[in-house]
Amino acid sequence: MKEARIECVTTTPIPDLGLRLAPGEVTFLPEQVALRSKHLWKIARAGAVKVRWVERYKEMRPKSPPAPFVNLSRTRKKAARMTDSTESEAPPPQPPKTEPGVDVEALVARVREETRQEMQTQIDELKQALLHGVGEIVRDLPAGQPVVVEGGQTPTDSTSKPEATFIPDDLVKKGTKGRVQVEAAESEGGDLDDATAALAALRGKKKKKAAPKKKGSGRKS
Amino acid sequence: MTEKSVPILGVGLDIGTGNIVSARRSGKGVETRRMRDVFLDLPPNAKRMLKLSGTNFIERDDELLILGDAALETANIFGSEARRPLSVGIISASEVDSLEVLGFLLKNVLGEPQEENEVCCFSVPAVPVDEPNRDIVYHQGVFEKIVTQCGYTPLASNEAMAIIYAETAKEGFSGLAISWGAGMSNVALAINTIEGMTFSVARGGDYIDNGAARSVGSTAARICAIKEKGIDLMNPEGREQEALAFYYKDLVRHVLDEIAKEFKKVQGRFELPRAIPLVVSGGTSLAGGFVEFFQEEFEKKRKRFPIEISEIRQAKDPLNAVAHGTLIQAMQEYSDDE
Repeated sequence: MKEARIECVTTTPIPDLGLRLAPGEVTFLPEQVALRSKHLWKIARAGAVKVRWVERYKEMRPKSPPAPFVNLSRTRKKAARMTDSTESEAPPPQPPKTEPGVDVEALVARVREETRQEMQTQIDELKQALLHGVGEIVRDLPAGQPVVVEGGQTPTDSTSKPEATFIPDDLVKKGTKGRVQVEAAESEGGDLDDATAALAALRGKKKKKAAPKKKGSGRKS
Repeated sequence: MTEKSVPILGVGLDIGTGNIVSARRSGKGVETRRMRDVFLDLPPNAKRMLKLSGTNFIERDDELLILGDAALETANIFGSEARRPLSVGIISASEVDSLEVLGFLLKNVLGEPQEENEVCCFSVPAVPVDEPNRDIVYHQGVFEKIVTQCGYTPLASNEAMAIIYAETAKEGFSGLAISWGAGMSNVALAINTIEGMTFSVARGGDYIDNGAARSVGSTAARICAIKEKGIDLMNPEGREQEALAFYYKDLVRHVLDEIAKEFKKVQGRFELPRAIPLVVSGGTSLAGGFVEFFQEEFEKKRKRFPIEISEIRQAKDPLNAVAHGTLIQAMQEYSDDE
């Protein structure tokens, strides 16, 4: 039987056939019905559906049952039994059983669509759970970030320095009880003097810095 | 007229995973104050015993925290591990008591400022190249706050650059410095005080202790005690010393490889006008024969090493070099003003 295989490209109603197809949906119509429709061919020319002619009867034909085993000679019965036994060991693959009038491709398309929708629902649920989890982590995070200080300088501009709010205020507790004796040692400072002098000479011509120095700091006499 | 004693302003502070050291000028010398950066918790009923033994401790509601060398010794006696406020060079995220302990330690190591808001230059590590997801933002923020609360003006400085300031004056502050600390190894390359490259590797003395302890079925505290008792890396004796030497070798090779790798990233940006010295410092470099050991490993890589090294030498005072370097920078803040 010749049929028209109609595959929908964009959502389009076909009024004179009473069809409304979704993108990707496939349906089959008998040849005569398809040829009689005016709207179908207009829509097909516009590219909203694709129409292809297919022969469907070969696919739908059920396998014929085996012939009854009657009135054969002993030799032919034996040969037939042997043939049957080999067949029963490895039965040929059977085509999927279909009830007459069931459109397999439409069924496949429907199952595919349902699976896609189910997967989409699961993905949406996962996304929601992930967003919820991330939201909770972000809520627990401290609001401020301290400034990264490079080159041994501390930032002095209070407007450009977000306060590190997550660092507790009482890091040096005054009332802590305990006993501490620090190991102290004294060494000669000759190398230190040389290094300080060399560094001062190297930086001699550099501009004097303002903060955090105060007048009267340094060596007093 | 009698001459009044002259206070020289500025304090240097080395905040390391193993030790906290402060340095300040006193007359013609340099006074350093040090505390081991470890603690151990004990039940409150141990207070009398601690007072009698003269151990450093702080009291809390339901426990006592032993501080410093005594914590390490006690941990070693009981076969447990001492707790550290810093982990791999940076404030330990897993130690809830670390901030309180650090505040207390720093207050005592720094002492009172000689004048209000005296400059305190403290060391910070560089971001470790082998753990790029770690940063020093929080670490630096915490110490700026502690130093401020101690009455000082904080000034952060790279740890390995401090060694450049302390040890390479005769080369015009040009050199390659490696600070072999307990938590990490910091590297700085500088030419005439200009920082060319700074980075750190998240491996140090603790990596050696832990690795050796795992290898011989011991504790890191015990291995550390063996190491500090005295070990000759060129002639290790016994299983523990052998294990220590293996891990030392691994650390040295790893750091040299990382230096070569990192230098290749920046070598297009500047040129080294001459061969520079390589200075090794830090507590981990105090092991016997470390310089020879390092030299031996370096010679194997010298041909492929991208920096021309004039000599390899150890800092004059490896445990205090960073504190001295930060002190020089703190004093510089005042000398610029004169």
